[in-house]
Amino acid sequence: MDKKKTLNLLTLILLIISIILISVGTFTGKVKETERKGNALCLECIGLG
Amino acid sequence: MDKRRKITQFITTLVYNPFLTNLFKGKLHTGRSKGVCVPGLNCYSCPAAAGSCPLGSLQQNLGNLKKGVNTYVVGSLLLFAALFGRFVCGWLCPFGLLQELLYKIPFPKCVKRFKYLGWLKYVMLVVFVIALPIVISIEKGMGYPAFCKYICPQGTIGGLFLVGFNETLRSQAHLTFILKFVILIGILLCSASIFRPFCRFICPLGAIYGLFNKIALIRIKHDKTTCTNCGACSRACPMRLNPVTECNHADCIRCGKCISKCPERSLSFTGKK
Ligand code: SF4
Ligand code: SF4
Ligand code: SF4
Repeated sequence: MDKKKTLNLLTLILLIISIILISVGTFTGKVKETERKGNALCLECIGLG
Repeated sequence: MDKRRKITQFITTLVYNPFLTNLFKGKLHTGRSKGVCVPGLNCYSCPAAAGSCPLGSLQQNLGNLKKGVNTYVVGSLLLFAALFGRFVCGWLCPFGLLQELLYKIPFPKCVKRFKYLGWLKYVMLVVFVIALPIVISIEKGMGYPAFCKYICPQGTIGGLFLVGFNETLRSQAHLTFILKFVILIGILLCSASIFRPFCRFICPLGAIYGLFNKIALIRIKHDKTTCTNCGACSRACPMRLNPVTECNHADCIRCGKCISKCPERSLSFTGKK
């Protein structure tokens, strides 16, 4: 297989893995968890923690 | 191409931070959109921010592994990396834009590559984003986003507005705030002389995306058959790379300047001729 095809195959595999991970995260409440963290002021981020 | 890139950078900055009036109210925007990770470095604790920073979310998760890995955040990071690589840095990151604007200030420019200093961002990634949040959270039993806490200058910008317009928060600003403020000022001052110093030497998010630069969907193609090795591309590269020998290097932010400058059209983005 030439280099370009191998790279494209790798990209495809990564894309599939990432979509699976996002779907698993969505169904296990991780989006809500991310939202909760994002909505709470992170004192460390702004230098007060 | 550069004009298109600048417009995209400005639009992205506004899309990530639409709640501009919050900056002067000293309070955060809260809402469901914070459940969405944006590709670039954009602090969720900036009052104007609509989404979540992937690097901050990752540290929050690593500091709380008892609840399991946040596959949504890891998956989002992997998706951005696989689609764009460091195209995110060149086109979709507000902090990259800020440094580029500062580089436009007429000031003596340092064009050295500082090749070995580039490894520092991987040290930042391993020590401050991965190791410290995991180890200290196990010891102390609470989250510890070390990169956010001690280094990230993007968070300090939001912090300045919060501290400036919120009296309760102002009373809490002590030594760490001063340390982070000094880091922010140092990076902004260096940006007038060195092209994107934070992106090249410090940013762990850029380091993550850089690891995927060679396999990301958006890549740079170099056609050896038409290239005359004139060097126009490497002279144009603001990241001090040679696109002929270092095509899709981990530091390439896909700015496209080499593509525009090539007289033989030997360089292009994948999918374009
Ligand atoms: S290296 Fe970091 S700060 Fe720089 S453009 Fe990329 S994500 Fe943004
Ligand atoms: S500018 Fe084009 S022709 Fe010249 S060295 Fe670079 S890729 Fe080759
Ligand atoms: S190699 Fe080309 S696209 Fe990459 S940073 Fe340099 S000029 Fe920009």
